[in-house]
Amino acid sequence: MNATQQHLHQAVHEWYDPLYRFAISLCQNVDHAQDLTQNAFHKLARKQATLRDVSKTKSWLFSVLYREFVDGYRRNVRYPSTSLDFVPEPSGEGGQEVQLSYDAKVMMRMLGELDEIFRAPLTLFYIEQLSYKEIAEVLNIPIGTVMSRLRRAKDRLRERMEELETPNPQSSHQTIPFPREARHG
Amino acid sequence: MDNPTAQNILSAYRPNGADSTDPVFKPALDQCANDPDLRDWLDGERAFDQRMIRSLAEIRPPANGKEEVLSTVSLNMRKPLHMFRWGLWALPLAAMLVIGLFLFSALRPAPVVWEPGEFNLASLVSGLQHLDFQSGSVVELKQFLEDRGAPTPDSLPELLATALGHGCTILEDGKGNQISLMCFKMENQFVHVYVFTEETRHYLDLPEDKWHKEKGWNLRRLEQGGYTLAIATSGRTSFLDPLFRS
Repeated sequence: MNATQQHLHQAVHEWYDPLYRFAISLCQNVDHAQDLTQNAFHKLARKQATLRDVSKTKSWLFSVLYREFVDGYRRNVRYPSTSLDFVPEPSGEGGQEVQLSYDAKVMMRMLGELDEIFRAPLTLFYIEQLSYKEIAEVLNIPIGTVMSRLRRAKDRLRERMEELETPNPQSSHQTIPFPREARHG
Repeated sequence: MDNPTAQNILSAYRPNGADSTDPVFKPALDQCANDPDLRDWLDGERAFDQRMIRSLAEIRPPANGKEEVLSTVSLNMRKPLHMFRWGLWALPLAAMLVIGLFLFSALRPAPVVWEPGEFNLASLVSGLQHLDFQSGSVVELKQFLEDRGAPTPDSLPELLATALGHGCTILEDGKGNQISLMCFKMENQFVHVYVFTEETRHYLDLPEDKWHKEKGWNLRRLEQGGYTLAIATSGRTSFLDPLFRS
């Protein structure tokens, strides 16, 4: 294995998981997330000879993935907004299905409701715990914009979470009738 | 600095403490130390951050995602015309045609050949490095193999015939006998199907009634339309069970 291939293998092992998490948080779709992640590495394979600073591989990959997502998002063709029925992926061990916890599902759903310009910096902040400077580099936006978007994104998420977690007095006392078929067999 | 400005800055303060020495955050953190309201807000912010981090950490990437990327990436790296695309653009048209023709004939992938006695299916599939042809269409894969005289069953089991294709390649055994390999993407994992003929099926030492595990691969034989198929997959096998029900 030559140095180029070695670098590629290392990048895949090191960055596949966080890239996939970033992708699925952006597009909320398992298949598209796999495509986005795979395409990012394909681009790396083609371009890594021109990548002058190998230490920038991580931010380069995130940046490439994000740009591809945005292109698709703006065309609104490849990654149409989906319902909130987020489907978790099978785990690596034994091929067993691992369900996300209720909390995680709620978080993912709320994340999916956010506008893409808020979702991207927030996901990078949480998944990889990228610094505001790194986020600015990946998303190609000013540092001040990163900070304000993080703030607004968190505020919106918190508001939504409070709405969901506050019991609705109307709904708690509401009688939900059985469907007709159930009542009459 | 007013509190909204401090909150704006501290929203970017990472909960793992990696920013503790970053001077950008220092004035806002100092203000926090002196303002109980701001401090309470920051505590709430950190609790929320931790909750989000825990939730996103639950997302499990596909089990064979890395393997899939590495196998397809190495395929792309081996595409000769792709590698020379920019070089060709830079050349005059005439030279481009000559070089293109030369590359086409010289760099076309040669069939994989192994010596008799060296055959081991698990090693073969582990060492799979390139495919002669890639397509998501099973019909196109079959056509590619047929056009080159490589063995393909007249009909595939429904489970395979309706699956998403990935690619195919042709192997030779050193005596001119060909073995086809068709790769499918099913249930988020690769399923490799080797097609053996009367002349080559003796290489295969696999059970038909159960999966054989070797070098991380699940291997099993299947008789289909006069051909012997060897199924290889590194992941789950339960979804392939219908293949073996007569």
